[in-house]
Amino acid sequence: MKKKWIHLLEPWIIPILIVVIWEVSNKTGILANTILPAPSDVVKAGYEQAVSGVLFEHLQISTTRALIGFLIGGSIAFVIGILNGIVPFAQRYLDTTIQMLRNIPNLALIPLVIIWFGVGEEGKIFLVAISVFFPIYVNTYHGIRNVDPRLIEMGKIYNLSKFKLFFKVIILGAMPSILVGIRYSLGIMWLTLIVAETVAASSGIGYMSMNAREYMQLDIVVLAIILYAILGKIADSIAKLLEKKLLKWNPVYQ
Amino acid sequence: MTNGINIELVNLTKRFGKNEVLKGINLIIPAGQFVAIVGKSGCGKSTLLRIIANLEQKTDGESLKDGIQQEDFSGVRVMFQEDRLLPWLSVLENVGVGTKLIKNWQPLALKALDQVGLKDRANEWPHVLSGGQKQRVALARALSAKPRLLLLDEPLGALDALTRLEMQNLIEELWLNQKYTSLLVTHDVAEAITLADRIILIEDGNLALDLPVKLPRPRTRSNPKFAELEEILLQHLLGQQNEKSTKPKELQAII
Ligand SMILES: Nc1ncnc2c1ncn2[C@@H]1O[C@H](COP(=O)(O)OP(=O)(O)O)[C@@H](O)[C@H]1O
Ligand SMILES: [Mg+2]
Repeated sequence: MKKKWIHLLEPWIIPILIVVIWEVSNKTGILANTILPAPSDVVKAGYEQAVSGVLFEHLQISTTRALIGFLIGGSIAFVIGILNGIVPFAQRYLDTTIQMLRNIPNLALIPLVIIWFGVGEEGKIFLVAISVFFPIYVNTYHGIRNVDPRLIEMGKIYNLSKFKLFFKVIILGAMPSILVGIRYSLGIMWLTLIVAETVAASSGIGYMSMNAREYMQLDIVVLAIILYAILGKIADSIAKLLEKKLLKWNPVYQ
Repeated sequence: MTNGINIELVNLTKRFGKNEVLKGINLIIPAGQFVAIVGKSGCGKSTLLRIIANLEQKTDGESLKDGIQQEDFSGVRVMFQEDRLLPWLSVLENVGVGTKLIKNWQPLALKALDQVGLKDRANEWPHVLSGGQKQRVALARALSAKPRLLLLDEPLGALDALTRLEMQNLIEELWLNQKYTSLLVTHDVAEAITLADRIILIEDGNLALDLPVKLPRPRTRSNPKFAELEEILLQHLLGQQNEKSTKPKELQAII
């Protein structure tokens, strides 16, 4: 019993140590506040921002952008991935074009997006949608193409309806790959949003951070960084949970 | 009494490019018969089975079921060397695939699973089962919708000897109960003799031998006739290169 406790604690020992050393360095003046604020100051800043409601406003705006962008880009990618995966005709026409567009780094579009949309919501949602599109498209498409043709043949011999063949054989067979795409795109989603909000926004966590930089509020800048880390972790945990739930047939995920 | 399909192959020919795999096969299989097909690896056994199942296009000739050219799979079930279970469906739902998973499939699937002795594993994932158990699930799936023709392409090829004997008993028992037409491709001569009413040997894309097996069931190797038949078949399989002249007729006379 006691051993288990220690095992649970072990991964946290070094992070806690770092925070303690960091705090002590700040308080003894070894680390200047103008370089990096003390952890306690960051917590204080977080508390103040939270109490005034500003923090949640930014958080909500960023999360909304991320989710809307993800839903739009992800669902279009999913549909086209499925289409190209099962209709050779569509694949011949669309896949090469998509593969070409994939080589454009999506952040290179920022200047264009600012010209098109200014600092409004559409621009950021657009960028997020584009960034999640490719991982979801590629993984859905390949997932479907890589479903064992012998299983599809089996489904046909057994006279499964088109509908059943699609859901019970093809989609479920492609699910591991689709979930890899989702997990990967959730990471890209935040990354793109951070940059977009830092460059062109008047709200959101990225804006909060850039705004704080102008006033040298380092505690808020660090707070924003930590928030992004937490949001990223939450997204990843959701993806992991999905994998655990949807792939419980697979011994790898048990 | 049988509800089997009768099969008639007329001058059935199959070419893959220039490679002529089946060179005009003529064969009539009456409804309810259990036929084993043997032959060297690559002689076209699977191809023949796949054409009968409509999984492969014939190049020439006729492949008739109940006297007509059927394009769909209704009444026909195939079992392969691989179990082809869907790993993401429970054992029960996999069996349900045999009934197309349309309404009220559960009782049918459960009954079929019971027939192969795996009722208590219904809610598990396929990957926890052994190879033999997976093939039994595949067999239950094939039988859940009362097939009229069961095509078996070396279904026991990957199993160990003991499991294979168990499965042979099961296959025989289920066939005796349900009396569908059964076509078994196997490389195991003893398996063919144990199960089949009739053994067909394919050689160079032709029917080289058509051997009735008249031993009483259940068959055991201790029967001297069993050994005799085995000898004939093995001789023929091994001696193909040397004695191409052996005629099916002469062999039938020996028996
Ligand atoms: N789809 C295919 N395309 C080309 N050649 C094939 C194909 N399927 C089978 N063949 C060839 O047909 C021959 C017979 O194959 P098969 O019927 O699988 O043999 P068996 O089941 O008796 O071992 C082999 O030479 C094989 O290479
Ligand atoms: Mg074969």
